[in-house]
Amino acid sequence: MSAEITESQGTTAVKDSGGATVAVAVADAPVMEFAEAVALGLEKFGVVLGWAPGRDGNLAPAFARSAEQASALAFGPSAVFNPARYVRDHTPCAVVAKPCDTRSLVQMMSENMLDRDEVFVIGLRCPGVADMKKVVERYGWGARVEQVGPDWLVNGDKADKADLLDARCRACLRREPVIADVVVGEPVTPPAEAERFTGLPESMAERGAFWEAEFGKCIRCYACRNACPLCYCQDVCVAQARQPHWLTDEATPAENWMWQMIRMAHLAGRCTQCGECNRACPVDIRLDLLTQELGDTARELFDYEAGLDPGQKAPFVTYDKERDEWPIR
Amino acid sequence: MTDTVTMTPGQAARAKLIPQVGTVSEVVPEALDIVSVRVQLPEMPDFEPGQVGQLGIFGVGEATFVISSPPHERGYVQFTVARVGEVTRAIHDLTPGDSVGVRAPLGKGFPYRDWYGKDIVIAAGGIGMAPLRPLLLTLLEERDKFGALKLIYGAREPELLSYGADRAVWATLDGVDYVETIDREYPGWTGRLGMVPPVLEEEAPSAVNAIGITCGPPIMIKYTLPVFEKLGFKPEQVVTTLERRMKCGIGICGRCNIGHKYVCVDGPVFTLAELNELPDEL
Amino acid sequence: MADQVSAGVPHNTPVEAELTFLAADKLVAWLAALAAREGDLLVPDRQAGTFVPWTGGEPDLAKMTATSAKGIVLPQHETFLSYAYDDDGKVAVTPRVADTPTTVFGIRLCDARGIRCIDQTFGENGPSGADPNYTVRRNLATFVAVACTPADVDAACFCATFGPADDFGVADVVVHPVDGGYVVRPLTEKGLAAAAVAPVDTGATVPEPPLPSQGTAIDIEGIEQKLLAHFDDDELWSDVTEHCLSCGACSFVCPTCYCFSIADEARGSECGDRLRSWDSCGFACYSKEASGHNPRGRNAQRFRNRVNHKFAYYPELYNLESCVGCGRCVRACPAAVDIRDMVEAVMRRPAPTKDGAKAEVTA
Repeated sequence: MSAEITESQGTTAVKDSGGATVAVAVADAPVMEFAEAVALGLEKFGVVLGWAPGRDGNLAPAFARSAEQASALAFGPSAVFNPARYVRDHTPCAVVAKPCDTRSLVQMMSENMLDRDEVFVIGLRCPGVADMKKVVERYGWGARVEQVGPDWLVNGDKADKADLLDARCRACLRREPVIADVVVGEPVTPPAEAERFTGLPESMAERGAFWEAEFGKCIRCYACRNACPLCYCQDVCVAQARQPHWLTDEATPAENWMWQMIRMAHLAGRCTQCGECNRACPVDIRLDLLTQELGDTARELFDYEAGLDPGQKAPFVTYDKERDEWPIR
Repeated sequence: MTDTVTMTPGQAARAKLIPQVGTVSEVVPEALDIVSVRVQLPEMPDFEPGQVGQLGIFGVGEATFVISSPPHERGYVQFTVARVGEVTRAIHDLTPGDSVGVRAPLGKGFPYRDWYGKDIVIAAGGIGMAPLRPLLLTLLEERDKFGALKLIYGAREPELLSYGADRAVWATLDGVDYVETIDREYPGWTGRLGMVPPVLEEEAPSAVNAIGITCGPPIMIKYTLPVFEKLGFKPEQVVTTLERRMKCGIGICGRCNIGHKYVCVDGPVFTLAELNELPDEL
Repeated sequence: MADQVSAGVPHNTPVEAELTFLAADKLVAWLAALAAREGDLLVPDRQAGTFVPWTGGEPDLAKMTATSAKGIVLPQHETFLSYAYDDDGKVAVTPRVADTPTTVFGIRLCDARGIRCIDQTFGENGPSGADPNYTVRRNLATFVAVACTPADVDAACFCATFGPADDFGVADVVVHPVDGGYVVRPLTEKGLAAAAVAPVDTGATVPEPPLPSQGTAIDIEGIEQKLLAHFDDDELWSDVTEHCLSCGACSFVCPTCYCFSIADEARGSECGDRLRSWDSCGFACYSKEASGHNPRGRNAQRFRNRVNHKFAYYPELYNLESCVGCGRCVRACPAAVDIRDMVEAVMRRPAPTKDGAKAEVTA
């Protein structure tokens, strides 16, 4: 979709070509330096969820409970993990969040999984992160990606940022956090167009073969489910249920497809397209195509975008008999 | 990737995941949500008290239960089952004549022959009586080989005490000092009050030349073991039998381990001395 | 053992055999000859992340597949019995076993070492003796391993921790990439049979193959004792595993993990299957008991068990770590958990004192 972006008074509204607002970023929180924001969060709740350098120098999820640990927190192109996933086990806490991560937080609030006052949101203005699977493919495991000035470096050499930019960031027009107690970073101009995830065959006949091959790869590790900030059910999930018994443990294309369809159905209207399930999959199944569809459908049918307004309820958990779309009166 | 064919008889004989098909001969209500199921098998196994078995209903699943009948009662194996989930619910619906699958015996039983000449103290809680019943009945079958026999059997409420027929006998037997107790006051109960650990401490059996055995819910075991120690029982003198989530029952699916030991193969009977060598993961 | 082996398929007996040289342009012909034998021929598919039937053409022998070769002998799911009720409610049980010979061309040496680990549990020396379903697949499988070159190794590999470069595991044949082709090294009777159909160049001088390339070695000297000594160090385990998501990715891609669950699947009201399928000690319900009690209810406890199993319990039982340093878990983990971090955190703890490390169970 193409968009007109207007900025006024620290908020960014994104309108589509028809003039309807398709995204609103709220940034009326004070802007401050990263270190200052982290110190504030640590003082308030004693733990800050974010990212810190791991073994190979790239960022990994981190939980800072002291000034020393907090000083290791950082942001950069390898901050691909969604810290909102960990918030539910750490409240009350502070969390460093990219705009996509803040949408997860808002959706959790909309669903009453998170109270606004039990999380201190350090919202980042975000230029996008790297597709780390592509980095590994191009440069090998352990290649270190970092941002220096406006450039992205891989192993110290300047790299093609546009090439390494994660597809989910290319699909995102949001550069401001949706919710924040404090904001960090320079304003970033969003792109004019959001790129869509591609790769889905045109014809239905080819699509069947495409998905059969994709779901032939699935090993039912449930990384997709466990990485999702909104899949709270975890081990009391439909996948483990015996009564009623929807799924076997057999990782056949049919059963795997059924698993993922149930999961997507449970996320319909709720998924914020954070992209973690797609990133988490160890066999690279194209879950991005499915979550994109969830977003498209929610927009088309219900003019709804998940994770923007904590006061709004997702379409499938609300019954509004006045809406024309509902076949049931 | 590869299709399967029927196993040869030789393979099937060695396939410890394949159950025998047995027939339910009797279902005995024992206590609230607890029944004993007696199964007749084409090949009755020899087993030791304390060994366990897998009882399963084809199409529902299998679960592990201790064999709660003593080896000298031939003709059937008995499993005492609490109704807690899908498989046990289906087991509670069994009636005589139904087909079931049994894999037994599994694990190691009580080494009671090492205890000849000793006093035996048994502290059982709730359904923890299930492995201790076959032990006690075996000891009674060879009564003159043992010293004093004391059984403390407690439950939260009277309705949760199993084996009513046996208890009536034990209460009258000279050769058994039988102490029955309920956790706290209950309408109609005029007997002993108190949880098993404090009752054991009150009874204060001598640790001299004695073996202490306990089984019950994890929390009960947790508080009973220190009482035995306080009474002077050395870790080699204290025996328990553990519960664990089990699937294969033959030590290869991985999950029932404590340290490098598998509860289904190296247990479920362990001495406190053996447990002390293992990581604290009860 | 006789009826555990299909007629005509040689066993895993080791052999001493001559090395031969196969020209690079003859590789496809060898695959065609292998495919012509009874059974399946599988090759790596990096897109699929696993081994798939060969459909012609040059195989992709670079690097390792995302998942391991253990699925050949321990498939993700396996029906080991079928049952059927008759009209009187009596049930008949049919035990099931595989019977298709399978040649897998292009496993890595870490795969071959991984299967050796799993052999310990499911073989004759395991807790319950040989598991027929496993041993039949094992005997029906011919493993042709490709030795790693420097290009195949990456920074996630740490296989040098566990043994020398020329530890070929349970590979039946090892194929060493050299200039112009491959050196073929049969190691078992099955390997000899597979090598026998390779159009090798009998006139060529066989070059001495280089030692296979390896990853790094991390220090695990004394780790078994340290793990047991620091078992109750809650801080150690909570800290390093906090970002783990409790999914099964690491276990399922691992060449040595073998834990499985068992479930009945009714296929209608009268008949069905009992099958086993991969399970992971990382899942929250892995150890949850019927009473509701879960001895490993916290993620830190589950991860402690995982590392202890691989670096303490397996060595105690079989004198072998249940890890081959392939690094698949490192690459697969969506939460940047690296088992080497945990191992190193444990190694940094002090060694236990002489009088032992285990606190008494006061219960």
